[in-house]
Amino acid sequence: MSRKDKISSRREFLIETALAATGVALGQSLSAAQTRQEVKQAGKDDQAGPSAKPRAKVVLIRDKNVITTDGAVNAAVAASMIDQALCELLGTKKLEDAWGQLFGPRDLVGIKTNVYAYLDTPPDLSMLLKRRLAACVNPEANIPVTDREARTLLADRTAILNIRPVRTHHWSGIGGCIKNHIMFVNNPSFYHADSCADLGAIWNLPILKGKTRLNILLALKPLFYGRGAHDFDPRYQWNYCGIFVSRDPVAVDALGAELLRLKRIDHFGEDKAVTPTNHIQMAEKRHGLGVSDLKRIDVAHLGWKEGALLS
Amino acid sequence: MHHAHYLIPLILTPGSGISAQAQDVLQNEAIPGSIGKWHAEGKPFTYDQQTVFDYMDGGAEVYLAYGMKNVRAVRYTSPGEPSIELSIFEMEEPAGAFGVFTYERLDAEAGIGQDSEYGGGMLRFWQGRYFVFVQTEQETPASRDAVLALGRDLATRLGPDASHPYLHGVLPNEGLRPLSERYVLSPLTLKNLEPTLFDNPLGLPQHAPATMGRYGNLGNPERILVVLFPDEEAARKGVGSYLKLRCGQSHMPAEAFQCDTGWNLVSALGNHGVLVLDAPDEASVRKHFEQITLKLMEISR
Repeated sequence: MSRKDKISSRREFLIETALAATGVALGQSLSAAQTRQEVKQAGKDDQAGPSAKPRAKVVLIRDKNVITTDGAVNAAVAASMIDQALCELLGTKKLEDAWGQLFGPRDLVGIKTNVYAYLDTPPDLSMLLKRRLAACVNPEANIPVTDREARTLLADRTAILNIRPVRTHHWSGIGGCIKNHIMFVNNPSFYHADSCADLGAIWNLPILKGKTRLNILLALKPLFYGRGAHDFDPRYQWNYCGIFVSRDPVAVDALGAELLRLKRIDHFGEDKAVTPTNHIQMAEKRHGLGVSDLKRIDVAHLGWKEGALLS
Repeated sequence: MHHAHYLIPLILTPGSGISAQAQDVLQNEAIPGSIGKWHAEGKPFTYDQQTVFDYMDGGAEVYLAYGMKNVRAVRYTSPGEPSIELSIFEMEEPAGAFGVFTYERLDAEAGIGQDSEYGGGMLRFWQGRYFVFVQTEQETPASRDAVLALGRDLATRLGPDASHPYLHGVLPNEGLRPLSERYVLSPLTLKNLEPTLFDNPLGLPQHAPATMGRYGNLGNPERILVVLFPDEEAARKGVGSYLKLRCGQSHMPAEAFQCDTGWNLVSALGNHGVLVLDAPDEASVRKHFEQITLKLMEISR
């Protein structure tokens, strides 16, 4: 990193920390993604004028030990990876400071997972993250961990951690962090039009708006091509051993979609047709949730480099 | 320049072989209760067009776009063995069953039903108005045999063969990449296969049939689409609209033109639209267009 970049990062960090603190003082009225974008916008405006588009930061961390020899996810390794990524994302050295920037004692916290039978959020990992959140808010706090019951169990939460694996999806192109919140609505099929173009609208519903503080897209064993009734074919899954961490749900999904595209080309020799991931672009253009343009996403790479595909 | 569209009479009848009013030939009782040492976990559960989302989330839209009426699902288990899941989709027309089979086709023929494929523990086949999907959660020699045996058994219970949709035969055989043919019945699924049709520039109505194939070796971008419009005027308008959008300039129908990505020829032939896209050279474009013209003439006789 150059000195100029360091100064810029430092300044961004200070501004972001200040804004995050302000967010707490205002009762967390700003969403994490909004905060992030505004911070980035403020930083860029100083350098490139007011017309500069917002940028996002994502940490991609990989560790080949996160998958055991029998193909299972080592939850302890995965949780440690998330810790490291979070420190990098927020520019902190102390783990408790990193988690504490996002989740505080006044928050009602919950974890939104994904229970897709073939590729779920590992329950052991969810439990480890729950402990980290409990340390931030209150060791005795009730912290719901759920997917299908999000509308009820997470409705009163003020701060949500959103975590799920990345995979191809029949109709939306990929199942990622944006789509993961569809269980907050009682009529998911209402959002299926135009290849789920308006999934981002869900994030602006009162039940959810401004509540998602952290997005974790698991690329441990991603599914890069799916077929059949449940869109799952184990031949198209590989041990990537990676995790994307960001406050911006759009940016992690844009990177996840690109990773799957690059893997299809690597595997098949060309990209196989899958449903376009239009909803990722729409989440930025129409719903203002984050950054979808890969050129405006700053990726910090940590850990294992072999076979990263993404540069 | 070719103006072969003057030679093509109106063709409006996508072949299906079986009436849309055909009765469901498969009763739940005919679905095997066991296959080898695997036994069904209860009776098959039926999902209709409204409840199918409970079974397969957003993925159901693909099947609905092909005219799905219902899907019956049952799981087979055996102690110590991976489970096997059976899904039987009843479609409105055989064309829908054939189409949804081609939509994801990837593996070698398994010799079950009218067309089939097996790979990685997954069997897919179509028979008449039915599309069948059998998958084991983990492929072992025993579970593979059970999946194939279940498929063979079911295929005999799904009624007689239906005709392939007539568009199935119009793509030129020469250079057609194996297993690359796709048959679709909706612009919603067509746009997933062909990026230049994302916003439906052809103006295709719902249920408009189309066939598409990829040509040349892996990585070669050439593909050919033949779509059926409701009438000749719709075909002319759709082709004209597409030509205006492609490469940002106007081209004459049936005139080969070059874009950054290759040679193209887009034309209306009667009530068909023919799109030869990103071919390596002008000669290839013209040759494929002539072959399609001749095939459509044969069909119309």
